[in-house]
Amino acid sequence: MISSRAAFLRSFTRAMHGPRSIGATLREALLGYGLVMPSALIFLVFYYAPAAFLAYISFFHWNLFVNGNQFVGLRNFEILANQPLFWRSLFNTAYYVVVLVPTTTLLALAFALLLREMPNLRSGGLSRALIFLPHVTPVVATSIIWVWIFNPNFGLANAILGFLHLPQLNWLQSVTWALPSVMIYTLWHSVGLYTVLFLAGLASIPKNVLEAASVDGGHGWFAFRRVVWPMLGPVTFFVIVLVSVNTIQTFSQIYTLTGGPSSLAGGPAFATTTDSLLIYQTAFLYQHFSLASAMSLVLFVLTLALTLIQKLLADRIVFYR
Amino acid sequence: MAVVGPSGCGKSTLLRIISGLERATSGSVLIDGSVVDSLAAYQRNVGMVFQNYALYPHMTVFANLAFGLQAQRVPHADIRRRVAEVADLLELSGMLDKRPGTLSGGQRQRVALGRALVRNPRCFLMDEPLSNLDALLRDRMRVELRTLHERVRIPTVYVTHDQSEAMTLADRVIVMRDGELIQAGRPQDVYEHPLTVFVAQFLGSPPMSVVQVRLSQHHGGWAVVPFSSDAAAQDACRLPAEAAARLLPLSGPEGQLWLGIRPEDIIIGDPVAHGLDLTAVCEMVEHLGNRVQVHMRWDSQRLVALTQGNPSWPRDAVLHATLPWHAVSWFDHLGRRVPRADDQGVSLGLRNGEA
Repeated sequence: MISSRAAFLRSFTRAMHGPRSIGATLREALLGYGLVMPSALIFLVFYYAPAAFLAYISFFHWNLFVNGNQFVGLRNFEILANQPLFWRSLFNTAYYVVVLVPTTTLLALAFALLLREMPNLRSGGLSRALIFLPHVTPVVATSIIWVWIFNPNFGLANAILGFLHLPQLNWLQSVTWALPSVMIYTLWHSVGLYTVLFLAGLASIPKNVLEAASVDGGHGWFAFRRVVWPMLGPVTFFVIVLVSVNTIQTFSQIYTLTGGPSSLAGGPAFATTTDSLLIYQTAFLYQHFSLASAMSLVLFVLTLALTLIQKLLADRIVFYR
Repeated sequence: MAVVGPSGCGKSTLLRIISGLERATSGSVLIDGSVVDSLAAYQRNVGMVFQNYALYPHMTVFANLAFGLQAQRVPHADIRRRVAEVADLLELSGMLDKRPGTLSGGQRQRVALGRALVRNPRCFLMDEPLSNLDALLRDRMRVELRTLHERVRIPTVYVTHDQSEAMTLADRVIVMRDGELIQAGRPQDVYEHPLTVFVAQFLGSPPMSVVQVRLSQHHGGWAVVPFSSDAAAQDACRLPAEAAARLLPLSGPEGQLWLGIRPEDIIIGDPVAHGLDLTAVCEMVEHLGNRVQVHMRWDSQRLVALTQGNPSWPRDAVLHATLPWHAVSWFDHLGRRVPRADDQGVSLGLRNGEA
């Protein structure tokens, strides 16, 4: 009994630490690749291959229904550069991102700090649920509700402005206010997710460290700025990258809020035509697939660049434990 | 002042109440004679050292030390001077630019101390500050803490579950149990005159041996018999008359009492006058280098004795042990101390309203 156990332990130790045969290594490798294969295939077929193809056709004059695609080099990008609407869409996208990233981040942080202070467990839990709830609703469905809310004549938004004795707005029908209206909707829909992320970040700060700060005489804004905020750095960075990427690619709510399948989407007067909306319209409304591909490539490069810049900045500023 | 007690007895809660991190349900906290109940933690100007140090991981050692001063808006030049002084005192000068994550346990410990020290607090609160260090470092830091305390003389409340830390560091010791203060006093007094069986068995390493005995009539006097034993009383266990007179009224319905004896007071081998002679069975002899720890059984109850030399009693050897009367602590059947003649004049805390 004892000797068989010893033999088992010996073989176990050998298996763990001893030199292994090439056959065993190979078997292990094959098993690993085999396990990764299903999801890798899905990614390859539905994600990487189309993306590569997109990059490929952005250098061609390409049409879904006509044979004889023609290599045109950088011609598509040249057309884009001379296309005012493309520049307008880039401007709209930038406007949308630049406003939403700080507002979403700060609002989510504020909500998280407020929720953390909720003393009552039940009301705290309820408030968390209420703030997170919009995020689990389908964008298209709630966008349609918000079209009514933004209705200038009988919508809730103007009713509230009226109650506060503020001037009425034309919301989605105003060139000035259409994109901000979309921003308000997006804020409403997404802030819950980021609030939850900040709550997790706050929970990960050791309670002792906060107590030490308090005993040390730090409180209120000083303690927040010097202890809480730096220790939330990684989460804040994550939230900023996530909001950036999500807002750059925003499509559904703009599409639904501003006109849906009609060519009106992106209006009025292209005030809400962001890059992703223009890509969609160029490809599927006007059938200029190669042009749309070129736009996608530009958007991809811009997104990548933005994320890299954020990463570089974060590496210098954010403290990681 | 050290606060000791088993885990969960409320030592840390006591500290947290003093610091203002928690609110007391009743009673008041006084610092320097003034009530601080209405002050939040950040207003009380106490320095606290946490068990896991709770340093600010994203700040350098300098920033960690400077934080409290910056919170008080002390001028920059003064901050730099104070931090330099404290860093010098704690030998941290070379590592002011490092982050806590790169420091060793002992260094972090010193940063935590320095952070509390730099603000010149009205009192120090230390919550098991040495428990995260390895044994060797703990011994060294213990000495350093004592030296530091003698230099800065800031009143310190030191919470620990390690009674040896309490004994060596403190001017006064408080023993707590289940949220209640059991005894307070000078370490030596508490050690020699424990108020209850619990305190007796908590302090000391090994702790006091406490056995349950009963008084049995013997030749017109009284003798001590192990409580569980039916054996007839023996001459050797005869109790001095004055002790019997003192103890009898305090014994339980079956004459039971608790007898406590410090291991170092038990004499094995040569009997001495004025002691309780008993025959015990040797269970185990532990050689600890400079001393020998003998585990014995007296009837069914366990006694531990410390001796010198190189005894080699086998298991089950019959040993003659003497418990000198002057070293014996008596407790009534409820575990409360029976005062001894030399208890007089010793402050045992509770009755004097101390603590």
